[in-house]
Amino acid sequence: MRKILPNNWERYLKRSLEQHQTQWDEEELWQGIEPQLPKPRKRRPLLFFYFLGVAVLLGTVAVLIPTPDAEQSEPFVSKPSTTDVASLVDSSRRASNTSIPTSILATNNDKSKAKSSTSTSSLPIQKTQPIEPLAQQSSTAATPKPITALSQSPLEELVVPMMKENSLEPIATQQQFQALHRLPIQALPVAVPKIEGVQLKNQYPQIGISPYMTIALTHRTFNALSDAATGKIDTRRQLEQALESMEMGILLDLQFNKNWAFQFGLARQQISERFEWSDINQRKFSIQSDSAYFYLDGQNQKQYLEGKIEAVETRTRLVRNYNRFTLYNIPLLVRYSKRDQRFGWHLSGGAIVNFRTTFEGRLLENASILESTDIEAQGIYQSTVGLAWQLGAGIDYQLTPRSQLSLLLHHRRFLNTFTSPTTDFEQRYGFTGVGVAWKRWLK
Amino acid sequence: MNIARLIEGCKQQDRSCQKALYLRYVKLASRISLRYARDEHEAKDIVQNAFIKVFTKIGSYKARKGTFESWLSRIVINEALQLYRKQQRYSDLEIEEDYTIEVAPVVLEHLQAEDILKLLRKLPDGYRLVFVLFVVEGYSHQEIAKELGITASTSRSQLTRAKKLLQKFIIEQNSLEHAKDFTK
Repeated sequence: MRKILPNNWERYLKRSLEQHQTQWDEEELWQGIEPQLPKPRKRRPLLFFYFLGVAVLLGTVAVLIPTPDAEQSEPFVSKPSTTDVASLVDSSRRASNTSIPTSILATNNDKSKAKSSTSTSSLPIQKTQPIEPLAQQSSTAATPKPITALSQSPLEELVVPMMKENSLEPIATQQQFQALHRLPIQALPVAVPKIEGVQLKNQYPQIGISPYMTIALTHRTFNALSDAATGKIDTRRQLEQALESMEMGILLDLQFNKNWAFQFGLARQQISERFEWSDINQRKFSIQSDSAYFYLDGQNQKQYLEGKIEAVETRTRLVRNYNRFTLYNIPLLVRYSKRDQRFGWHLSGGAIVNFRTTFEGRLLENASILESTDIEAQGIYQSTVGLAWQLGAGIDYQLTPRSQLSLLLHHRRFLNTFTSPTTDFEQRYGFTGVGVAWKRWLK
Repeated sequence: MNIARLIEGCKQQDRSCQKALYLRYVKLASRISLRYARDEHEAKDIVQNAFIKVFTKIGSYKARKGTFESWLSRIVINEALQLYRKQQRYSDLEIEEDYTIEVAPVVLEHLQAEDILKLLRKLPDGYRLVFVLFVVEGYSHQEIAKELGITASTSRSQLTRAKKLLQKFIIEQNSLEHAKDFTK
């Protein structure tokens, strides 16, 4: 037998431990691991088609509902001005027998006014070219004065889109333009009234889309079986309860009148649950000690005696738990809004249908010191479809006639999303959050 | 199948690759966990948690940063330490004894690894962890201090105590008389 010296016994220990082979049932151990592994990624065609459907719906609504002649834009109204849209008609072709209604041929008598115009309409016209009224041209029978840009484009394509874009009243009827088009038109001198920022009446219902994002914090109401009742834990002191949530979504606004609107849409909400508690457990026990008692001998020295010492073991366990949920929400909200110039405010409220899709995390067993519960396996939070209510308020800022930015404040309360029909487990979450939304009116 | 392919399969959450990887490395993981655990049951928990973490975090494994074995070992050790940190919250009644048994050369050869593990498990948790991290894993006291949330001097003193206790246990195991024979 070989002697192991003190300086190498540690090395011997290390080597022994490194060479040690366990005889575990590896298959059994794997059975414990496999159910907890993340599932292979599944494609979610239904969800994809749902989003696609919403997008198609929004697009269809945007396309099918005709653009109104007017839009609300009171803050942006300015003084009307005029824009001269000049075009010239090929005089040689005009010499044919076709007559052009003079009503559509506005004159441009005041050229200085035309030059000083602050029109935003930008036809590709070289304004340095002197523009003569058609009647005047026909009388003088002058040589053509071609305008490059205009002469390369059909008249309809230039005039009609211009009117649509600027919401201008047409000077000529469609038939009149068609009559013109048959002519060898080089250009048509037209004076079109230009209004910057139209002030016309509202038309309802209006439709808008609002992408939004909110973040929320909350406190959590926790109702569970009493741990003390199980006898395994003496007391539980919940130290901290918090939830963080982020939601992103899109709302479709149906504005019925100046103040009232109905909103519905789709949102994805991610909830991070974070809580912390301490379990306190006490155990009385006795230990054998060779110095449980002592007495003083004749020399006043302590002499110890064997015996048992009573002791109390206090175990305090601090538990932190992090769970994560993903919900898909369908908000159904009614909104009341008021606006004064660019600024406004709104109140909203309604119901939110939510679908819980994923859960990550573990819940520690109420009645156990160390064991944790797999929430999915135990059927806690079985309700994958739930309902919540929400109240909110916000301030709005009109960015452009068709878009606005809103700052939101809301409180949301889940009614049955996080409850289990088979256990006494019940949690009612409430969120108070802030967010930002941008709205674009489609109509 | 080579390790790179297995890891690639695990990244795609392929069950067969995961199981193959598990079977290949479960012995290494269990060997490590047994050094830290208080019993076999706890060691199995550590191994299970470690493999779950391996398969969920395998996307972050980079082969160029080190071997898979070292990555796995690190995860197993971390799991063990995490368990310890949780249990550290227990304010156990501490019964401190000053062991003043003189260190003597001890016959260890007949001690099997199982026996050594049993002796290790008799050590208080803190002592055992410091001893294993220092003697077996080769951590410095600074690293141990950082991992366990203690000071380096505490780590040193716990190591000294662990060694003394361990020697005491070994002496008891072999009987004092037997050990004395070899000190002559």
